Amino acid sequence: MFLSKWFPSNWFSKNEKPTIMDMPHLVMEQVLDNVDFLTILNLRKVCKSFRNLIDDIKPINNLIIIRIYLEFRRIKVELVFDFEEVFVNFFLFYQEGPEENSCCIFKDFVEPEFAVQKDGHFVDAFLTDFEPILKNQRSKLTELEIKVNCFYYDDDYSFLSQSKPQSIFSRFLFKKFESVSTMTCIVERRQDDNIANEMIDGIWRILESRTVPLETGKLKLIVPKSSQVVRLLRSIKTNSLHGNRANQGASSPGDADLTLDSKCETFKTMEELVISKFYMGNPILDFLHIPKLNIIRDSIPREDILIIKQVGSEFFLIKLTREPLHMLPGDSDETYAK
Amino acid sequence: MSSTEQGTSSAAPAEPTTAPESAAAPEVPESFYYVHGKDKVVHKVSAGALQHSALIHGMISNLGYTEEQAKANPFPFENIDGDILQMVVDWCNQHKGKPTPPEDTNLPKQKEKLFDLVLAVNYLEIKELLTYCCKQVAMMVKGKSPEEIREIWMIPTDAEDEAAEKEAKKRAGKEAAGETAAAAGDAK
Repeated sequence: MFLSKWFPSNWFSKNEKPTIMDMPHLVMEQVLDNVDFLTILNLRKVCKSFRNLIDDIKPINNLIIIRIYLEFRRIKVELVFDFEEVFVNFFLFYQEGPEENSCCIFKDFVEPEFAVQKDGHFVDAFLTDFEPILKNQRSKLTELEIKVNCFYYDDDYSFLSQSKPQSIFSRFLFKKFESVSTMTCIVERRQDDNIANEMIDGIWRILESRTVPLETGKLKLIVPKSSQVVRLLRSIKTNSLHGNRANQGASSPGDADLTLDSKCETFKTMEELVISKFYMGNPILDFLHIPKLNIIRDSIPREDILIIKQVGSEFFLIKLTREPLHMLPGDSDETYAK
Repeated sequence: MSSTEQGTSSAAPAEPTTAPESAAAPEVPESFYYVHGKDKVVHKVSAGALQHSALIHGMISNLGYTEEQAKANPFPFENIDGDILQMVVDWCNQHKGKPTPPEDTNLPKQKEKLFDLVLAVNYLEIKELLTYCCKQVAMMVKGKSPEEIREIWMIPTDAEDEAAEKEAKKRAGKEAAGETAAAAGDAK
């Protein structure tokens, strides 16, 4: 009996009415499979025993899409649910707080005043909240997207007032002296680099601790480093991978060269592979089982061309290029030289 | 047969047929079995309706329970209340040989009854009814806050649990002490 060992046997004498705590494990499993995702999250907060039970059962839920976007100083998460063929989505934001080492969490573009403020970095707050979600996801997702897009500042972003509010005058100053602005931009990008790596490492650690790999129909990754694609692919099972390289300022030489592990189970069963802004290093024979392929290489031996001709698939697209693919608007070689 | 006969086990009126098993040819008249709950009220159920319960079906087919034996000794379910068993029997009779609908709205609304029903249905292994009951239990907490869930499902808080655990330990300790004292008394 579920949790009955807590209570002395005479507690539930025959006159006592049964409660939810008396339900057998199998019944609880079936009940929790019928509870929707958001109620499960609330149920985890009810008491320790329910939290442990949910983490143990990992109930089936109606969550189908998770999109994690790292934007300028904040993480935006979009969750999509399937309520009997009706899709409902909502957004969660983890944003840098007005004070140092603080963060704000809010839902669905509410006014920043209503945000919940917490101590600690916003990436840590996000990882703490999403650890149980990513760990307990038993049912297959239709899409998982992890996108690092923190190197652009978009005017549309709603920002909380920072500790040192920028006056119109200072903005004007920055506009006028562009060299000053590029310098700060580079420093900030280095910070954003660290945040991006921290977030992806955190997600990877959570996914790695799962006993069964997370299953998703589509996987979209926009990350700064090729090694991150390889690592994430090890703990995610998918049929379709769209890999793209995040634009960023500072990068080390190997970041653009991507070699997928040909022994990786996910790679073996892949049905669609679209990689842009990474140069694939695998030999062409590794890709022959994939029906839909779109990759970039910086060189291709003559034998490989013959192999491709023999296969003759219309979906086979290999681009030969070694252009600088990750130039940001406004960036020039001068900026890097500084 | 949708009627459920009520009476004491000794006075159970019945017209037992010769077919001992439901596996017999369809022309053979239906066989009936008898069950009783905690209140000893005997319910008459047809073999077709009992097919729903994997437990009773298993008992009939594996133990070779014949009609006469069944009449003399109704299946005793001491852990199931009379009214709950009545509910289960009614459901089985209603859904005898029919494909079960995707939704069932006739389930009890009071949570105590529903929990009793879930436990009974789980014990009797009636798969379809258990699915409905579980859905109903899940619907109770749909879109509710943690506090509301705690109230609806009557879940004790962690603090209450700890208190209960402490009390249980204390009681166990006292009992143990009492036993040793009694043992010492006996020894004297």
